[in-house]
Amino acid sequence: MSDRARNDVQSEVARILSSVLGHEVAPGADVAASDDPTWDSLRQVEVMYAVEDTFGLRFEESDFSALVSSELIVDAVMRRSA
Amino acid sequence: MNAAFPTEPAEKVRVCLDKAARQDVLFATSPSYAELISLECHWPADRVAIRVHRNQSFELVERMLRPFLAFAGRRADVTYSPYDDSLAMETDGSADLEVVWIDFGRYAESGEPLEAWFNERIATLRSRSSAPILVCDWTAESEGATAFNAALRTSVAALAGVHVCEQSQIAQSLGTAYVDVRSTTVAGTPLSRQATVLTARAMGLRWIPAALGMRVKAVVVDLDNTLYSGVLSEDGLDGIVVTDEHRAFQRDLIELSRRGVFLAVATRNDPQDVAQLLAVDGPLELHAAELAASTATWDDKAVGIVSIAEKLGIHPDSMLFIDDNAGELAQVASETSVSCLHASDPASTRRGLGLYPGLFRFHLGNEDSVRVHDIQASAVRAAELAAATDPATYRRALGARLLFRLNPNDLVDRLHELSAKTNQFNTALRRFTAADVAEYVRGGERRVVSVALADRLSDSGVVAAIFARREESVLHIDEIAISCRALGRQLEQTMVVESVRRMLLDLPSSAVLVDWRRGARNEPALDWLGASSGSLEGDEGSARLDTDASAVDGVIIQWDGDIDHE
Repeated sequence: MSDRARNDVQSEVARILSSVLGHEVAPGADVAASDDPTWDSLRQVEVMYAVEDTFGLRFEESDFSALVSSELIVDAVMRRSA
Repeated sequence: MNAAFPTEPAEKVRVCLDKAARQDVLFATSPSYAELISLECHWPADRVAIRVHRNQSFELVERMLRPFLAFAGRRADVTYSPYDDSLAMETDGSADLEVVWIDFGRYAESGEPLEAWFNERIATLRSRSSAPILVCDWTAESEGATAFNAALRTSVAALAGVHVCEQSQIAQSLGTAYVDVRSTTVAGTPLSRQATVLTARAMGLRWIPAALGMRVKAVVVDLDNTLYSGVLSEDGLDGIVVTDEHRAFQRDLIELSRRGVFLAVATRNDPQDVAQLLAVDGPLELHAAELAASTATWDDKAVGIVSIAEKLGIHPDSMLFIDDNAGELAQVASETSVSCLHASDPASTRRGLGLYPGLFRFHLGNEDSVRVHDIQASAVRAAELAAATDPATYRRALGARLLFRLNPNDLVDRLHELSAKTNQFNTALRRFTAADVAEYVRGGERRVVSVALADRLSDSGVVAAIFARREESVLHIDEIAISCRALGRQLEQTMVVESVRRMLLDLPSSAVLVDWRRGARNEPALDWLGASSGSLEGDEGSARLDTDASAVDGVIIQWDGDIDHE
């Protein structure tokens, strides 16, 4: 996958995180649940649902508790889109 | 209907077109979670305080609720009970709406008789709050759940202002996709992505608006490229195309008419062409006989729609206008307070109509099925009255009959509806909830009388409610609510005085005072009160009622269980 494709995924993930967390997340910024008090378990489900819906993919149950940062989510989307 | 409706024409147009632009997302067959969660909804909205009593998470539904409820002109402030299997039903009574959101599967293995206990818990909540209560039913596919839901509907019917939300239908439509174990593990909620969206949509567009009393009273449709493809004046009757989906949309409209919603047509076309189009042997499913009103001119549609509102005796803000032309919608929005639905294609218009806030109702009363016929009869009645030489003789010939009932236990919903909905003849604008009405029906120092009206042209059903309370030997008439369908027949005095005389037999009092408050539209009620009690000064007060006034001539008066007298 190209850098451009990764940039596109980063932009979409940042947009989703901004909507779900209620504050601006810049494309490419590494935001993690552990550093963001608004990113709780319910927001995590919302993020997972929105990412699945946007990219047309389905995460494993373990991903729901593992994909807890913007970069981890981008990596997971890139792997599944490859 | 739109308490939060903007008043500036430019703002009204912006809201109308902005909502139209988001119909595809909100009314989609399978709404997109990602699109909804990021949907910007800068629309005016009234806050509604919702208290959720639960033993499972509702938060994901609440978040998804936002765009749907915004479309309905509301914004939720939600507070939660603790996760509580014992359902303590703690509430301070300040909520506008109570929601009971239960995972019944948690009780399935307890062996306790769930139905009786749960009904007692709902009754407890009813006793602590006068707000409408929504109870979501059991979603499991099992005989036990089906039997429980049937029993729930029966038991809830006995409680004023409690409504069952058929969450089980959403579960049924999604099958195994209703539950997502991944969400259960992480966030303690079993709802899948699709289940969350469909639940939020049903809550935001149907159940909550219905519980809050929002109601579309009339649907006004355009013709060209809305009920069919083509332009009648250019293509002619033979040139327009009526697809199966167009026909299904028209049948949906007819069904609404049978459920008490007025149907009307507003079109820029030649009246004779329109008459042919809507004839019984015409090309459409919808015929003129199903319409409560229509306007076919080359003039401004907003003017036509306002004239339809006047004919039907309703306010434009309780009307929905459906048109394929965004320019027409914008014009109507700028000049009126009518709500608008953009008819982009018949399939999506059908979905929009089916989900439009204010069209869903939990219960249909007798009055709903008679409303359309009644308004048609009123036109005949007005023409006959105008031609009559003596009004009393005419009334006698009309055979007008008033049926009074004291504290009618089975009419709580209808009396609540009259209190909540009547605008022109509503003396104190108190807007009682169903739970409030139930307090009057219960008796003690309170009484309520219902009045039904019929004549040889139509049976109007229950058209009036008079609420009273005795305090320190004075009978206070807390509210008089009379449907606009009963106005114009000079029966108001008879309805009120006859009701109050009966109440005084139960609650002897030294005086009768009618509470009143001036509102935007209740001038007819205050004009009547002023004429019978002296002029009303200021914006609110109490006026003495003369209970010696005689009944109007030519009307049959009957009390439930009594023989007729005139």
